[in-house]
Amino acid sequence: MTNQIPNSNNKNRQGQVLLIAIMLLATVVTVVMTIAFNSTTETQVAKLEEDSQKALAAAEAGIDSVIKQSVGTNIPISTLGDFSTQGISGNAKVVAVNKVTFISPLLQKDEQYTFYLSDYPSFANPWSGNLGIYFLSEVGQCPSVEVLVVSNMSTQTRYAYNTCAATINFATLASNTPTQIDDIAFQWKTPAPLSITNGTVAFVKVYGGRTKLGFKDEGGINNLPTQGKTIDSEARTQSGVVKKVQLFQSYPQIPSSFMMTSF
Amino acid sequence: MKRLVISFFIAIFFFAFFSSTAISARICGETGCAEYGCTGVGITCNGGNDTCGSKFNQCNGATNTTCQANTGWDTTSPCNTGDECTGSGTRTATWTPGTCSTNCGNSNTRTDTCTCSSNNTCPIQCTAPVRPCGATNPVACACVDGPPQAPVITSVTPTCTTNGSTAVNWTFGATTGCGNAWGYACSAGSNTFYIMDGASTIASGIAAGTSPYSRAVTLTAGAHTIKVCADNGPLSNCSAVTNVNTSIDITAPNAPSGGAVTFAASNPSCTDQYVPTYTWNAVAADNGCSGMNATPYHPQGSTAVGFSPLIWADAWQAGTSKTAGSSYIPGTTLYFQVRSRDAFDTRSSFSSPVVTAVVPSPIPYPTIHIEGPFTEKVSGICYSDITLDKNSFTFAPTTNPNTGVTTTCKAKSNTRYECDITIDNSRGLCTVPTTTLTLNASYPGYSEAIWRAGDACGGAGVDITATAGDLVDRSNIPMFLTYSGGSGTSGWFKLSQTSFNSRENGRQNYLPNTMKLFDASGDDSIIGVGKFFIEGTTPGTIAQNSPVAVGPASTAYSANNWYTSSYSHTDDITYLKYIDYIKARKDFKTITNTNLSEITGDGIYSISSSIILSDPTLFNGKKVVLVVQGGSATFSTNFIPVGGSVVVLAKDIIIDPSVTEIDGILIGQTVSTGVSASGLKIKGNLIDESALQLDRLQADGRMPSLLVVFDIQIYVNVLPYLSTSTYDWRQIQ
Repeated sequence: MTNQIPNSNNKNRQGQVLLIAIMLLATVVTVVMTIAFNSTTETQVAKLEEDSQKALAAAEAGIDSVIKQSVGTNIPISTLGDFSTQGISGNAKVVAVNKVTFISPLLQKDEQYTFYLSDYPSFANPWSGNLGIYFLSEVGQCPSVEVLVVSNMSTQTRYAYNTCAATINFATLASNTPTQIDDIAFQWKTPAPLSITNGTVAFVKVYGGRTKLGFKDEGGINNLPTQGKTIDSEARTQSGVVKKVQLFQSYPQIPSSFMMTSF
Repeated sequence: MKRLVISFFIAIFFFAFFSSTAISARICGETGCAEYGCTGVGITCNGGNDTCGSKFNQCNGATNTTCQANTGWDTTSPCNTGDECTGSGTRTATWTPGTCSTNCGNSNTRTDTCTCSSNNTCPIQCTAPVRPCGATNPVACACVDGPPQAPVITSVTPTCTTNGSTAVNWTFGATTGCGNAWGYACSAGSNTFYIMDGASTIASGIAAGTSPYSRAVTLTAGAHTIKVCADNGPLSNCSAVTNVNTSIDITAPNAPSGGAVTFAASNPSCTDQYVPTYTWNAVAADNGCSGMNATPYHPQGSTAVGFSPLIWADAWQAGTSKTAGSSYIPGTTLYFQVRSRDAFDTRSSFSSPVVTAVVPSPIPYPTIHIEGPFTEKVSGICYSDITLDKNSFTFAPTTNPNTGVTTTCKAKSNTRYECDITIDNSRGLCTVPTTTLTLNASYPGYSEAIWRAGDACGGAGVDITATAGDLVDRSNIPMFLTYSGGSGTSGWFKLSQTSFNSRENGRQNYLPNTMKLFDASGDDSIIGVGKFFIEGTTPGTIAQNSPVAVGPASTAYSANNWYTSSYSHTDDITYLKYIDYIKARKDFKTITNTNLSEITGDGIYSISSSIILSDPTLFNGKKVVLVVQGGSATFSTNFIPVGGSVVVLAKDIIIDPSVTEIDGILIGQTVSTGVSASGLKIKGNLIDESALQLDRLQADGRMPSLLVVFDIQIYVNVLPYLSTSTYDWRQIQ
């Protein structure tokens, strides 16, 4: 019993050495391969980043190129400056968006938005329908709004709504109806849609807090008039990097302070 | 025994001997010597032979002669006692004394008469002196006692006493014709009076003095017979009896009954103070003989039940009422009592129970009520039936006199006021019912709120003097409010169809109640001659940090009455920011000619020099935004471009006082309206980035001095120019 033990120990020692050697070899290989992979990836990422920036810059350049152009303008990105030599393709085009909804930019307190109810600048095609206005898109804000609707070029109708706080005394309390318009969640809306006939333009002033404004044809059938130019600019690099930028430029906005009698 | 008899006879002998010796020794004329015939004094009778009374000796009849010696019996002489006389019968002869006069002195005499009996048979005569019968003999009267005179009672009083003490009064000695009232007292005595009641002497030893006399005696109740006697010792003499019925009164009269209190105002001007008068029934009679005292009543009044202090002097009086010298205010409790006394000051107890009286409250003066409508005086003309805000009045009425006067004035409604004057006549304030009320009312936007003389618009300001209870109709006395016109010397302004950002805290822009349209254009009469600060069917919101005071005319800022409170408005753009904006984002044309001749079409024009807008025709038919960078734009004339829509932006916008209308949108850091009595209408809009100093004051205060009419058409027309754009950039991919 005792003599059998030394033979067995020798065989075991030989196996252990082999195992250790294999493990060391694997570790070395792994380290080498990792280093090599990272180097390659970083090179690729840097290339993509560069292309991305180039694409984005090209897309923005496209917007700049058409920002003063009218709807329908379509300019290839490749025609813009050095982008042709860089193999960047794509187009910048001016389009008019007509939908049954419209989301305004974020309006700060005491700002107003000029919402067109007809074509600009001709004021042709006056819009008629039931216009719903949505507000309180920002958490913690309690804006009130005053709406001046101009119809038939000169007929004025005003509305005023409070939301969660009464900024305007004796104004109508809006309806607390959380509504999702496009990708914006609004908490309040006009309690009843504004019945508009031959609308020209509407001025919506925000009191008390900031909010975006949502406009919606509550009938859901009449697209709202175009509110400005939408420029879609797309640039693609030779490496396949694509950047799409969209800029909405509103039609002329009369500042609130220039419409309120003040002294 | 024998010797004894002999001794006896011897004694007799000697006795007789010596006795006769003694008689014969008398002198004629001596008392006890009745020697017949001796008439002269000093005649010595015969010695030893005459025995007086036993023998008659005959004198020789000569005067101063010696009596004859005894020569035998005188038989021829009248027969005397002891003479022997033959015959029978009784023979007497005696002297009968006369009467002395006892009343008139002590030196009188009497005449004695020799009285003989008639049956004498022998000659008889009186002896000592010897006188024949019928002869007289004067004899000096000796002292004779006489009574004094009788006293005369003059009165016995009083007959009614408290203790029987009565005074007996008499006179003495005055009526007799004889000199000595007390008579003649021959024996020892003293002259005194004594008083007798019936048979009883009730007073004696009353010394003689000087008439009249009085002596107090004590009599018991009942009948008495009083006489006064004079006593000279041996004799006395009494007056006639005086009957006296004496009463003794020691009983007090009854206390007065029927006490009552009445109150009267102290004087017409002090009806809120009352003077109490305490009355009681008279006590009809005393409970005794003395009768009531001349001042039989002793009333007491006090504010304390213990009757201290008293409300009048503590004294007895004759009357059956007593009025306090002071007045007392209503509600004061007063206490009264009275007692009586008789003539002997015998006093009753105080009346019971104590009379309690509370000073009553006077009938309150009726409230003086004044009321009437509000009448507005604007530019010298009065307009009635105006409507104000009753909550905006301030009343501080004063009255003269004001003691106890309370006045309240208030707006009864939005069309009438009322004043009530109450005069408190119950607190001892001595108030008078007539007072003069000064209204001292004020109302925002009005320089005065007064009554006018004659209730006439042109009347001078007056106060109202009113007396409580008079019948003057004061139910329609107008209060005249003189509109002061906006704030200070500035007129008021009105807006139309717009929203308003008030840049002045505490702004006062009081609208008159009686308005007049600015002009005939109808710019401020969209809903009639409205009384809103912002006229129009679609007025906007008022953004204000502090409320704009619009005064009486309206109860709301506008038909919508939208406004903010404590709201800080933020400008989203300014004149300067807009310049920056157009430089960056807008197409504009820079002009240099201050005559503005370079403005040839629609668009934004920029000029760096100050300009004078004197030719509105340059803008006819154009849609122009004129930006004056850093300078001023002066409107020197009315600016009404035909068919044009003009916006003028300048650092300073100056409007000449002569300008009454500008059609356009004016935007400036400052705007000056010019000092003028003419109104100014801006049809378009006015944006002054500072608080406007309105220096215009319409002569006719009913019209606004500034009217801003929001013209949306201009905004629509200049939308491409007076605007910015918003951008929404999004990276989609």
